Amino acid sequence: MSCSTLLRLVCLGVLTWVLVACGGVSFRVAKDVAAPRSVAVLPLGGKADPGARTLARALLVERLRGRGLQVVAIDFVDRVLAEQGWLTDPERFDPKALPLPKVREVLAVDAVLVGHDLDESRFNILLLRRHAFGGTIGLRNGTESAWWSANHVASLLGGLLLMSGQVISEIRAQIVHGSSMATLGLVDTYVEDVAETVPVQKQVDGSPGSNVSLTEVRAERTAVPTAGLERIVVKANASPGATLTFDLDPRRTAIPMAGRAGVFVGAQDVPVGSVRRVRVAARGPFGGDPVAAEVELR
Amino acid sequence: MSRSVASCAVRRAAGAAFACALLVTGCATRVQTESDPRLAGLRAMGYRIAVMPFAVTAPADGFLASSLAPVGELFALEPGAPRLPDRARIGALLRGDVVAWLRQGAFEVVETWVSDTKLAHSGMSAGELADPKFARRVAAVLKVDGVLYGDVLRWNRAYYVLESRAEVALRLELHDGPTRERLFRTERSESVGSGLSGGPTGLVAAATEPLAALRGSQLRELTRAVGRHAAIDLNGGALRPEPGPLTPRLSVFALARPHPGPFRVGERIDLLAIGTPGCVVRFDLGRLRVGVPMLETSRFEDPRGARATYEGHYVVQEVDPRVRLPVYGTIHPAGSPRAMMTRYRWGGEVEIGPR
Repeated sequence: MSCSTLLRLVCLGVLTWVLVACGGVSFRVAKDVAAPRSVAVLPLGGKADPGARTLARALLVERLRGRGLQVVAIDFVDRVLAEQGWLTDPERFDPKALPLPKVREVLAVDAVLVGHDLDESRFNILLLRRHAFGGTIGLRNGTESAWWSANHVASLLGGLLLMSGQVISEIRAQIVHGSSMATLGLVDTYVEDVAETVPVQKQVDGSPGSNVSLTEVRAERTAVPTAGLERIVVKANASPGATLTFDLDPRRTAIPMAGRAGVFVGAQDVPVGSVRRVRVAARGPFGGDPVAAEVELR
Repeated sequence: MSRSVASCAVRRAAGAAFACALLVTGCATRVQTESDPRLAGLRAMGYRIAVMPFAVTAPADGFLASSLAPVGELFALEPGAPRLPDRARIGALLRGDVVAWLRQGAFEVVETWVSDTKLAHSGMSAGELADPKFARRVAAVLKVDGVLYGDVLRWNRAYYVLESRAEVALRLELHDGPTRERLFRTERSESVGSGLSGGPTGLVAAATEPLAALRGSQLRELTRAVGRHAAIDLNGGALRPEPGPLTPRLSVFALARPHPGPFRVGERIDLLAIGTPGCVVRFDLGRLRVGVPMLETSRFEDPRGARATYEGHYVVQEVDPRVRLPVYGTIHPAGSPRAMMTRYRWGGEVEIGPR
């Protein structure tokens, strides 16, 4: 093979790679599947750094709300998945193993957003560089059908070979290539690109997060074996999908309560006589402002 | 001979000055900031703000479409046909970015969809929502201390054959709710040029590089930068997403004492941490129970810096599932709930056992 032929093949390969790297979002919207109103974004799976996947998940929640969907809070989703035994180690979560119909039913939503194979790659040999983040995500209604799904890779491509002599620009770009700020930017770009392909839903009146009730809040002191301490036990009834926390004083705040079928309980050991009032707060599955109640300790 | 040497030296000096000017004008930032002296104290106390939808007064840019229409398809630098974005979307994009960055600062920022929904039901007109004169009423409806207004002053791309520029400019104003006084104002503009200002270039790059700079990604990157820097201006300090030398740390995070077998109902899962004093420290049991507080119980001086001990516990309840969970600890400065938070994972797992 002559040098000129080899050079042509290399250039063709680079050109192909550039075109692939610059591709848009590949997405699909099923016409025969009803559009969901409420969704839950599950933890995203893949080999990408857990922080990047967590960021992508949080951004997806915000973007989907901007597309008119009612999205439940991440903390609520995680708590419910953990209580059901489906989410133990968030860094090794695999959404492919979930029974999606049951997950959707337990979270009380129309669809769940499942993401898998999210991965980040970096490559930089000065002449060529690429930093990419991407994966596959879809809104599934619990069956095999997906109302919407997308496969996309957001990438930054460069290198002296491709920049045609724009040396100054490429030097500036080399400094930030592969940095965590560049990853943040790529994750943001990825989420923005895929969210743009979600059909906008008509907004409904009213805030879904305000439908939470909190009743029968009570607290009592109980003895513990450790001298000088007493246990404050806090109980309350609330909507089954609520998330409850309680405060004892300005330093002991937002202590999580455990609940089942609308009955919640939590406890903390404190120095004897140090706590006189307890404040309980309840948030609905969609977040929003909490409903609160205070009780005196006898 | 001396005259030709002198003229050659003058030409070289002029060329170097021109090149430096190009490098300087390649990236340009202009900022004007005014801050009320009371703002720092309000931030430290946890000032709660709502961010209103941003106005967009940027001038329309028709030059791009009219001059590039015949050749746009040949270059195809953006997916699909090149088109200018809708003005309202620009404002929403920047608003979202600013809100996201502010959440890493000292302010407590109300969720935008919550504030938008409440204001939609308040009966206020669009003009009133954008006018700081109505900040008191907005603050009363949203139950916030202050109201942040934004205006996208420029979001433009311009093409000059061998040089193109992208520019994003944003103005932010923070008004106190009860008094309607302006506490903060920043007007920030950032631009980037490509083509001649990108450095030495060949004939091909001279034609294509200016067009490459008109990609949407350039404006997107500028938008993120402007939003971030404007949020930094308002926060009165840098937002750092990564731990740095001044970020609070934990040198120890573990179970307080060994526990044989699973934790049963009524037992305490005790955690111990040692790290930077005066911080807010919490722990998570997987994602099952998150944000359990840990209190500073002692402090000791060390030649390498003061250290504090934090202790916290979770009491296992009957309804807790039987499961093995990792344990995470978080620490952040007491006055900055969302800035500089650092997260640690304990090397082991805790098991919650049968009832």
